[in-house]
Amino acid sequence: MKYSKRVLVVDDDTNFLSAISELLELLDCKVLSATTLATAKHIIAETDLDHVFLDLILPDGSGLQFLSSLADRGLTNISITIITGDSSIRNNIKSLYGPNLGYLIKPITIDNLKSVLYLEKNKLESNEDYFPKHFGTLLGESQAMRNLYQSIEKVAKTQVNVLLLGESGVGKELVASAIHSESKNPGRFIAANCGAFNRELIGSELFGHEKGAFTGAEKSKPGLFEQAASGTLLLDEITEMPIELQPTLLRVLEAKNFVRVGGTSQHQTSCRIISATNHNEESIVQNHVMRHDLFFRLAVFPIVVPPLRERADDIILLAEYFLNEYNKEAETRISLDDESREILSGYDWPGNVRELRHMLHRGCIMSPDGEVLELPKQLDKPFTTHNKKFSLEAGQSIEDVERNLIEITLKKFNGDKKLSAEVLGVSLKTLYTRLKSYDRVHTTNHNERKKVINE
Amino acid sequence: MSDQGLAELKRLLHEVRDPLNNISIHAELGKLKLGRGNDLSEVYQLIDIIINECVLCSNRIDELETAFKNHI
Repeated sequence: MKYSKRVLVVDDDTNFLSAISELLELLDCKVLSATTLATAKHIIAETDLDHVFLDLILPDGSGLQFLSSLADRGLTNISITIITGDSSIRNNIKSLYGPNLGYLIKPITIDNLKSVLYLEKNKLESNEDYFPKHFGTLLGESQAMRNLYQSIEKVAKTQVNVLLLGESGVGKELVASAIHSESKNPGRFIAANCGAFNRELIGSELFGHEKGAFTGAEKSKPGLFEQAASGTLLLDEITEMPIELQPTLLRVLEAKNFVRVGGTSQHQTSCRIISATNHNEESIVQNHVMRHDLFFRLAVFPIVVPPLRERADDIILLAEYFLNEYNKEAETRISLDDESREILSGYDWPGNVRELRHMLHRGCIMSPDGEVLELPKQLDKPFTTHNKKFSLEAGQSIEDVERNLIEITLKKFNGDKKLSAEVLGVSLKTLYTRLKSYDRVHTTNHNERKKVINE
Repeated sequence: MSDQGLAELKRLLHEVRDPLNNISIHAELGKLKLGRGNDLSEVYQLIDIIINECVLCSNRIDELETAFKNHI
């Protein structure tokens, strides 16, 4: 692929600057470079550019000042790629410059450079923004997602069975698909919903049947295990499979072979099984929704897919992605304003990414002018159980604010008092004293309430 | 860990990424040059830079370890 672009690279690390400039020249770019903000500003005043690779921290100022200079000169058609070590900065700077802003996370590779230059070319034709997907399906740069990507990479190299645990709407099927594509297994990815299986026909669904095996079996049919041969079989909502039918599946997992309903010849199983449930491990045990022996067969490598509230850094990125998809489909140009960003970031998304997608779709339909997304002032709340943001309001007492802060800090660090005390900047003893005093207040209030009730 | 400590940790982690970035970009350049049959001495120069950046990365990790030895 040939490129002929005028590119400016702004970075004060001369080793990096020299190497990336040479690399971009080998990719057929005409490259200018600057180690300071002043030089970069001088270059944009004198030269027409197609693309700028920009470091944010420069000896004589910030890369953000450079973005302002471009905006002041009306040069917002130049594509900017910020080279940063901190992905969370993207959400903060997007509104400063507009849709032609992308980012690369250090350390960068030649594929990264090619992809931003190549996608820019597509963008001119299709007006698309740049949303880097991991494994071709997953979007997000938060730490929670990076941990998930590591698990996917590790397990994809093996053939072990995987159990995906995660709330409804977190994208478990996408994670399963990512494991399949990363594993490079030659077979297909087959997804089945165990909650939708017909009780009477579950054997046929899983293992297939021969012609005449039962009334209505007019021709032989391969089951899910055969369809997923040498590939991946996703058994979604595995805990919805009636417990009395689970031994059928267990037997196949143990014996590694099966027979079609009405058949006699044995088929070897050759697919990886990924199962998924919206129960957590504790709830699976407590609610007896899965046989223990089946659980241990399926959960060789359990992966927890994080809820959206635990990857809040990704909310705006996902919102922009869904908005972009909607805009393409509906041929609109709806965008997020600062108020919408604030509303979206401040909500805890009990329905996770699915809820976000539907909310944006609804907001687009409600958008009065077809340009700015229309969201309710406050997103409510039938399933909301978590208050993600700590807010201050006039009228609260200092004690209440302090207590609230301690509670959310403890919650964030899973009740680890030592770590929470360090983060709060108080001694462990002080933290214990505060907690005891809250306990005392709670007990007093409780007793007072009991007293009122008894009276 | 105090807010100041967290900010320092973030800064040091950020600084570790800089030499990694140099390692990556010089390795990519070396690969491209080898693929295009460039002079080997050019590639040796790039490898020297990569080695220096590895040392710098190691120093920064040491610095990180020292600053947060009580938390590791």
